[in-house]
Amino acid sequence: MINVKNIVTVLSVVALMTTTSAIADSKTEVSTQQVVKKNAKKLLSNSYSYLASLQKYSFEATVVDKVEDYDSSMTLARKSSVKIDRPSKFRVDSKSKFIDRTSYLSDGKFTMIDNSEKYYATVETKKNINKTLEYIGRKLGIAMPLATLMRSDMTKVVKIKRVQYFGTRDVYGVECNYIAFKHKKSTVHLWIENSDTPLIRAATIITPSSGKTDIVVNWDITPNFSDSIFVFNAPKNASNISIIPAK
Amino acid sequence: MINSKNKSISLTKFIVVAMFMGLFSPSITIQKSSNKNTLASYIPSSMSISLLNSAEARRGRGGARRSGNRSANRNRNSNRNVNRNSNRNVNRNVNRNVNVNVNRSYHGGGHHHGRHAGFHHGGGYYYGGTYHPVARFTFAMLTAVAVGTIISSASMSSSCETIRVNNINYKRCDNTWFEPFYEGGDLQYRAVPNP
Repeated sequence: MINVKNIVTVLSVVALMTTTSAIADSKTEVSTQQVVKKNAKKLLSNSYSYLASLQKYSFEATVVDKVEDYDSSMTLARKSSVKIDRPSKFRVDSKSKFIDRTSYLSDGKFTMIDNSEKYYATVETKKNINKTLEYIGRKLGIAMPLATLMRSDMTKVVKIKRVQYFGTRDVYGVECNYIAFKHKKSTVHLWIENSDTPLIRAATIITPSSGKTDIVVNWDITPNFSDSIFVFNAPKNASNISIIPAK
Repeated sequence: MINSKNKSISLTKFIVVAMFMGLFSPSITIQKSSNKNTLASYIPSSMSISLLNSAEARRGRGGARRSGNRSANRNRNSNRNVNRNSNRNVNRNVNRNVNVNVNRSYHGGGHHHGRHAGFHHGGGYYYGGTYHPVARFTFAMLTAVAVGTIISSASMSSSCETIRVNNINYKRCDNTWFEPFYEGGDLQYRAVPNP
């Protein structure tokens, strides 16, 4: 004769064990996700910290904007060459179909010049790159391209709550950690070099209302440039024109 | 001797008849530069000399076919679709104007933060950021430009002249003068009285 009580007891124990195991599994899963999230965040902050630790560096970036609006789409590419000498000097050369511009910061003087038309404007700013970018952004509405890669205080400026990690990817022969996060209305995808020099090698920024931007960056962390490249000298027949804040 | 003489007479006759028919009449084509108001426009960009081009050859093939061509041309002329097509082109220009508006939204509401300027709290902390000029008006759109009208550098026609007055390089388009200035990071032009 089979004892019904025993069967019930055995079934109860099995059920309890299964439930406990499932809870344990789900807990493990949650904790693994947290570890990955933490690592992804750390990858981002490590990258910004590493960039902040560099005194002198340069990079070339290819930026492709893809815009879709109504039934039309437009692709616009430009190349930017950025040279940094912290704390007070930078030079940015940007070229696209519509623009050929160089921006200089040298010891508190910010100048931008449109090379094809020979128009330029100079403003007195702060002596520090971070503060200058802040100043020209807030006071004049000038958004420097790739400013994120020029600042040394991104860990303070950027507060991202959740960063996702998608493993490693090959970006033009460099093994990179692939992370993504949301910031305001944009989704930012970053490919950060998986090495002791965790530089951002590529980025994609998707904003539903305006489109997508793809960026590929080539770095030189041991550049050889002189101080003179940061100093603006007006070319012959150039016009010094006025600058008003953006509305 | 007589044979060769006859041959040369026949050849001469043939050439004379052929020239009358226009087969060997030389045609000279000079193509001028399309760029107006420049020195280059007065210099031919290319010149071709040929003994036989398609038009000449067609003409040279005699009057027998002309009547046939005429009737074909009549048919073409009677086709009113030609006029309709030109109307369509006008509509296409209107569509271009819509694209100008597209540019405006593309450049972040017509202002100076580039795309994704909002990334990392705005104010320029972003990856993408552009200097692309905002197309407020295209010069071609404007029949009469009032003083104070602002157009973007992207909308400035390349045919406008650059004239330096008091160390400023103005743009002159027809008889309208434009003074350059920066509005934030965008190069703009404002219509001004004759400086």
